[in-house]
Amino acid sequence: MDQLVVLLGGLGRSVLISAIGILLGVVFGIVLGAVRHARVPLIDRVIGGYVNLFRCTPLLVQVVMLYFALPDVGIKLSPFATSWLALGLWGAAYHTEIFRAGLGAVSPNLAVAARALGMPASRTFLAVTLPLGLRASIPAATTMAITQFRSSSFMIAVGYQELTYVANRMVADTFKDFEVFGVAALAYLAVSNAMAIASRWLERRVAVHGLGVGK
Amino acid sequence: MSEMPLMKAIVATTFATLIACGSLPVHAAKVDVPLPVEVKSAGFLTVGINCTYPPAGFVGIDGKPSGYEYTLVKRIAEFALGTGDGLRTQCVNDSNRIPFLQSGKIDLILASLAYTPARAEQVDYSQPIWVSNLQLIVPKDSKINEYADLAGKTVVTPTGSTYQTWLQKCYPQANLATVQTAAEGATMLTQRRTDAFAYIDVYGFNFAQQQKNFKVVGTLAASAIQGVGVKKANKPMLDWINAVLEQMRAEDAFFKAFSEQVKDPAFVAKYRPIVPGPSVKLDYSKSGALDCLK
Repeated sequence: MDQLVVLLGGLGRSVLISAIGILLGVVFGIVLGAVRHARVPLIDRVIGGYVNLFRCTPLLVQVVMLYFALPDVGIKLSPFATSWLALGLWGAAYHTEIFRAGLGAVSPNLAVAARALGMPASRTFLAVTLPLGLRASIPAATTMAITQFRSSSFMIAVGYQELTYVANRMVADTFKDFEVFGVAALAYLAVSNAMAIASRWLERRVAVHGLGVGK
Repeated sequence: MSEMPLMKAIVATTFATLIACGSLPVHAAKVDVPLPVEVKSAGFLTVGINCTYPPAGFVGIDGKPSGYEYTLVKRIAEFALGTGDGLRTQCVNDSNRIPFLQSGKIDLILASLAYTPARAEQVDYSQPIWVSNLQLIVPKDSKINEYADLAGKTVVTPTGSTYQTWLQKCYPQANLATVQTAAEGATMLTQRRTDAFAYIDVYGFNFAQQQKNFKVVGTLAASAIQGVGVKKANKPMLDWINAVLEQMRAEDAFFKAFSEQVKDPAFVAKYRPIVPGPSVKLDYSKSGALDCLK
């Protein structure tokens, strides 16, 4: 029972850093994705560079760089700060492209119709393109959020006591590889499934009838 | 004239004998116990070794394994296959070395495997091959001098080491953090993310030699007798490795490997009376890896 409590503690910390990382990723993803969708010159290229950097390097390398390399330039992050920041920065790169694609999936005719009715461009974006684009992005964004949660296990590299770290330490003491890692795997599965179910509920809840989502 | 062929034969035979004597190894790598079938049929011996624990086992600047434990591993491979060519090594750490052995990915562990009763339920231990102690590495200006000073302070040690268990048991007031390898622990110490790094005294000595801003403190504690790990119930392998190690003990191979790697005569001399040798045989019953200081 004590061991289960310890594992639950680790799970709680995994959920905590994942929640912060996912929130960061989604918020920045929407903002940066919208900027990319609008094709603002120069800024679009800068965002593209950031997306390229964080999508094309391994998360583990990013984590180790944030934790062990930044002190060389005077920035020392705690394991907790490194964990949610790494998940947030890495996740935001993927969410940027997810939301950019979602916004791009909205039929341009809808924006044209809104403009024809006298809506300014900004209002058209906020009232027409963005809501529909976000709805279209829910499945892909959920997949990425689940990936961020599972990737919280990489934070073992910086000694943050999330679920995998705790399980690893427990196995070193007890030698019960199958039982301990089995419970850890089930915990990851349970939380990931809960996220998927919640996402599906959200999709149905915000579905716009006749626009082909959420059936 | 008829004596010339005879003289030639005598000289040739003499030279051949001298050359043959020169090419014989001082100690032939041979034991009476047969090599285990799985090693013989595979044609190679796989040993789990330390790769981040200088001077015992580490990767040198040339990318090749090095260290006194590696020297012992090479000698064992000579007993197995005649040369070191059939030796394969696998880097392991304190938390994964036993799973590597249990899953059959390695034949032996020679990676500072200290004896504990819990580990002896998971693996079989060869006869003892080394003894090690715990000490603390701290910054030179640290006020930590003994383990009791760790109360409320952060101390780091590798996951799965006996020191993890010892610190949890004997000094629970310390904030214990564990890392995957000794190298990570050292990095955390040099970046001042931890107040102390708890690890083997030999490692600490080597570290303090390289990093002048750090020092080694603390009574020698958690004295651990180390052995070679063998997969549980693999009697042929256990019998074979014990025969090999007995031969190596007679050759004084352990102390020789250590003194060749650690080039500090004063430090090395401390180990002469306590490591296996022709007149020293260790005993696991004397191992106090998990005993708190009195």
